[in-house]
Amino acid sequence: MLLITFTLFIIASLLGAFLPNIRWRNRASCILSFIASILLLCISVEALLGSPILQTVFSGLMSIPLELDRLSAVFLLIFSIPYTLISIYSIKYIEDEYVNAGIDVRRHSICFPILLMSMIGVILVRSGLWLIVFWELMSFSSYFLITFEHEKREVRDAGFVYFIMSHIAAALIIVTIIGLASRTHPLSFAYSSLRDVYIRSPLPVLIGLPIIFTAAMWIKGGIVPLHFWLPRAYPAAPSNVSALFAGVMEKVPIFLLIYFTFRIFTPTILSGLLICIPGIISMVIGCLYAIPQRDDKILLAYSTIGQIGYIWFALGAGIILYSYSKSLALLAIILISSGIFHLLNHSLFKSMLFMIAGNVLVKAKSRSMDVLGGLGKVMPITSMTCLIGCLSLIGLPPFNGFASKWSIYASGIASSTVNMVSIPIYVGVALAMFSGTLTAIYSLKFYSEIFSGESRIDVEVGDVSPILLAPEFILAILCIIFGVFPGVAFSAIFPAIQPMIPEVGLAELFRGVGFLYSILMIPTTLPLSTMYFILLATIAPIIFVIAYQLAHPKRTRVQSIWLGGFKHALRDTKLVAASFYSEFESMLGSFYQIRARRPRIAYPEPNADLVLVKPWIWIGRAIGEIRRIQVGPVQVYVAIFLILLIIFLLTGVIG
Amino acid sequence: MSQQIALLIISSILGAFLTIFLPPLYDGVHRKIKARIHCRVGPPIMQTIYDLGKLMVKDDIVPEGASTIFLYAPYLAFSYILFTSIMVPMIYLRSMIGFTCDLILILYLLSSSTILLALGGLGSGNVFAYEGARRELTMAILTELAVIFSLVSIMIRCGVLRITEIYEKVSTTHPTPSIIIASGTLLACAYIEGFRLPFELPEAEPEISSGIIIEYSGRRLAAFKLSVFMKQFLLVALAVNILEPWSISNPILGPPIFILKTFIIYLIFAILEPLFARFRIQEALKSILTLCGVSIISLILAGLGV
Repeated sequence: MLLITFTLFIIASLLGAFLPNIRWRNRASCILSFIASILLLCISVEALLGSPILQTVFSGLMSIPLELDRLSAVFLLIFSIPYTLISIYSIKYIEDEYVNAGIDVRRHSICFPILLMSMIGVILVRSGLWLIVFWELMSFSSYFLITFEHEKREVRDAGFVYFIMSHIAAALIIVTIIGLASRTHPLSFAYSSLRDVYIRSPLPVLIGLPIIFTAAMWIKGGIVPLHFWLPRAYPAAPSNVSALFAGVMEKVPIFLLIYFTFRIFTPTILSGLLICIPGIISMVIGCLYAIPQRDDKILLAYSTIGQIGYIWFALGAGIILYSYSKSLALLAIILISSGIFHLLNHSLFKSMLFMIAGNVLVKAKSRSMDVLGGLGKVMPITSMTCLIGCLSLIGLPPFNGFASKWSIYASGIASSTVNMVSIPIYVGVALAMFSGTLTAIYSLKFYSEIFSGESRIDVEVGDVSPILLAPEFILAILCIIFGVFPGVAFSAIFPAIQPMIPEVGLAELFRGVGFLYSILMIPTTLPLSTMYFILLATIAPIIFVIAYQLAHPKRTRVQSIWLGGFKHALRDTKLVAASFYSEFESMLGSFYQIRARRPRIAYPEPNADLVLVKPWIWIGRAIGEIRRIQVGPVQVYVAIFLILLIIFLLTGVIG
Repeated sequence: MSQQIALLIISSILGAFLTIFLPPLYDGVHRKIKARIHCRVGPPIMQTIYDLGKLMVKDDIVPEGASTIFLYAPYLAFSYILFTSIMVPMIYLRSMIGFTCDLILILYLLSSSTILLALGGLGSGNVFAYEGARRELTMAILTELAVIFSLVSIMIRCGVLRITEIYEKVSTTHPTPSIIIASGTLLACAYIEGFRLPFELPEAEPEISSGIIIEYSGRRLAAFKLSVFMKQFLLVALAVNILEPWSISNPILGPPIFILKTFIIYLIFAILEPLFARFRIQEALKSILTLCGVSIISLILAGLGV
C-alpha cells in the first residue's frame, strides 16, 4: 500500500512535467496527489486501529527500511488530512490565479507531489541515509515552490534565504548522522545501529550531537531567533503551498525531535531545556510580531511561529519532567500528548486560514489589510469559516484550540509543585496564557480588518468557487469535532507516546487518561463534567442574547455615524491597520521594531517611575542589539554555522 | 448533602446579584466622594443605578453600516461576566461551578469580555471609537500580562489548582510576601480595568468624545457600562478574598464582611481618582509595564517558595 502511494506521487509529478496541455498538467498532478493522500489516510487509520507495518524496499546497502509504528501513524494521519484538502484546493487555486493568466505552472505541478512524498518519507524511513535523501528532496521541492513567482525580486530573495537556511539545517543533520554512522562497524545507517553507537560514545558526542541535531530542528521549525526565513518564505509562496508549509512542513521537525530524542538519543534535562526555552521565546515573540503586521499572510506566518512555540514548549516540558524523575512519567506523557494534540489542531486551523487568505487573494487581488475590508458581505461562507478558524486559533471554548491549550496549561501548572526544575515550565505556562491574549488580539484584527468594516476597493458580490470553499468548510467542521470530543484525539495519541515512556504501563495509562479527565473534565461540586461547564459557558451567553432580543421588540433607529458634525465618506475616515498598536511598538523600542524607524516625538520622561521603568527600557535596548544579527546578511549565519561545524569536527578528531 | 447543594446554589445566586447591584452602588459612592473632594455637592448615591435603569428603557440608536459584532458585543460580554460571577466564590467558600483549573476559565472569560467590548467599539465604524478601542486593546495586552502573572504566582505558591482550594490553603497559612504582592497587583489591575482616571484613555471624554462608547446608546450602553463595572468588581472580589480569606468559610458572617471588604477597596479607589490627571498613552503603558514587573517579582518569589 505504501509503495503504491509513493508511485502515485511520482507518476503525478511526471504527468505534471510532460502532459502537453497546461491546464491538464496541473489537474493531473493535483488529482493524483489527492488520490494518493486518500490512500495515506486509509493506511494511517488502519495502522492506528491494527498492527504496525514494517517493510523494506530494495535490499543491500541501498535498502529503504520503512516503519509505520503508532507514532508515525499519528503523524501520517495529521499530515494526510491537510494533504487531501490542499490537493483539492490546489486544482482550482492554481487555475484561477495562474493558469487563467497564461502562466506556466509546470514548476508547481512537478514539485507539489514530490514535496508531499518527501515529507511522508521523512517520517517513515528508519535509516539515516534515506532521512538525508528525503530531507534534501523536501528542501529542494519546497524551494522551487517558494520561488514560483520568481519574476518578483522579493520572492527570489525569500527563496534564497530559505535555500541557505534549509541547507544549513541539512548540513547539521548530515553531521549528526555521519558522526554516528562513522563509528558503526560494519557501516550501517539504520536507526537501531545508530542508537547502539550513541550509547557507547564518549561524553562530548553524548552532549554535542543532540545539540547539533536540535539546532537543525530550530532552523527548520522556524524557532526564534532562527525564524527569519519563515515570514519571508511563507508569503512568497502561492497560498496553497503556504497552507501546506504551515499545516504540514512545520510539523516534520517535531516528529524528528520526538523520535530522535527518545529512540536514538537519551532524553535529558538539557535536551528538554533546548526544546522548551526556545519554544517559550518563539511563543511570545511570534505572537508579539504578528500583531502589527499589515500583510495578512505575514501575520499568519508570525502566528505560525507563535503556535509552533506552544508545541515545542509542551514537548520540552514533558522531556524535562521525564528526565528529572521517572515518577513524573505520567505527567510527561500528558504534556507531550497535549503538545501533539495542539499540533493536530494547528495543522487544521492554520492550513484553513492560509487557504482563506488565498480566497481573499483570488477575489480581491490584495494581501494588504490596509486596503481590504468589508469582504464579509461579499464572501459570506469564507467569512464564516474564517471566524471559526480565528476562534479556534484563539482557543475559545467549543473549538479545538481550547481543548489543546487548556490541557497544556492545566498539566503545566500541575507540575508546579514538583521542584526547582519546573521553574521554566510554570514561567512558560504564564507566558503561554499571555500569548493566548496576544493571539486573540491579532486574530481578531485579522478577521475584522479583512471581513468587517468598510471596503476600500471595489469587488463584485459573490463568493469564490465551491472547490475553493469545500476544504475550509470540512476543516471548520473538524475544528468543532475535535473541540467537542478531545478524547477521540487523545485516545489515538496516548498509545503513540506510551512506547517512548515505558515507565507508565498501558493499564496505568488508562488510569492516566482518567487523570487527564480529572484535569479536563471532572466535576467536584456538582455531578457534571467540566466539558459541559465549558460548553455552558459559551452557549449560555448566546442563548441569553437571543432570548433578550426576542423578548424586546426592536425599537432601534438607524442614524449616520457622528463624526464631530462633519460629513465624510466612511472609507475616508477609516484608520489603517498599521496604526493599530503603534504606541506599543514605539514603547518597546528597538526590540519590537518591525518597520523603518518613524520620526519620534520626544516626550518628557515621567519622573515617578524612573527606578522601575528604566531597567526595562535598558533590557529592551540590550535585546535589540541581537536584532542586528537578524537583519544582517545571511553570510553571518553561514559563518556562525561553519564555525560550529569546525568546532564539532575538531572535537570529533580529538575525542 | 442536599443542604450543602442548596447552600451552594443560594450563595452563587446571591453572589451574582451582588455582582450586578453592588458595583453601580459603589460607583454612586465614588461619584459622591469625588464631588466632595472637588467641593461640589455631587449626585445622590443611587444616581448610577437610576442612570442605568433609565438607559434600559430608552430606544436604541444604531449607526449606519454597523457590524453584527457591534450589535451583540455588549450583551455577550455582559453574559460572559455574569457567568463568571457564578464561578467566582464570593460570599461562601465554594461556588456552584468549580473544577480543577477553573481559574483559567475565569481568566479566559474575563479577557474575552474585554476583547469583545473593544471589538464592539471597532465594529461601530466611528473613527473616535476606533481610537478608543485601539487604546483599550493596547492597554489590555499589558494588564492581562500582570493579571496572569499574579494569578499564576498565587497558584504556584499555594500548589493547588482550584480556586476554592486556594482560599482554603491561604486561610490556613500566614500571608506570604508573594501572595500579598500578587493580590495587590490584582487590585491595581482592577483599578485600571475600570476606566478610572489616570487610565481613562479608552473613553477620554474631552479628548476623543467618549471614544469606545461613542455610538452606543440605550440598552446596549447600559450593558456596556454594567459589564465594565462588573469586570472590575470580579477582580476586586478575587483579590480581597485572597487577602482576607478567614471570613469566607462562615456562611452567616461571610456576606456582610465581604461587602465591607469590597467597600473599603472602592473607598480607596474613590479617594485615589481625583488625585490624578489623565495619562498620555505612553505614560499609561509605562505604568502598567511597571505593574508587570511587580507581578514578575511575585512570580519569582512564589517560585522560591516565599
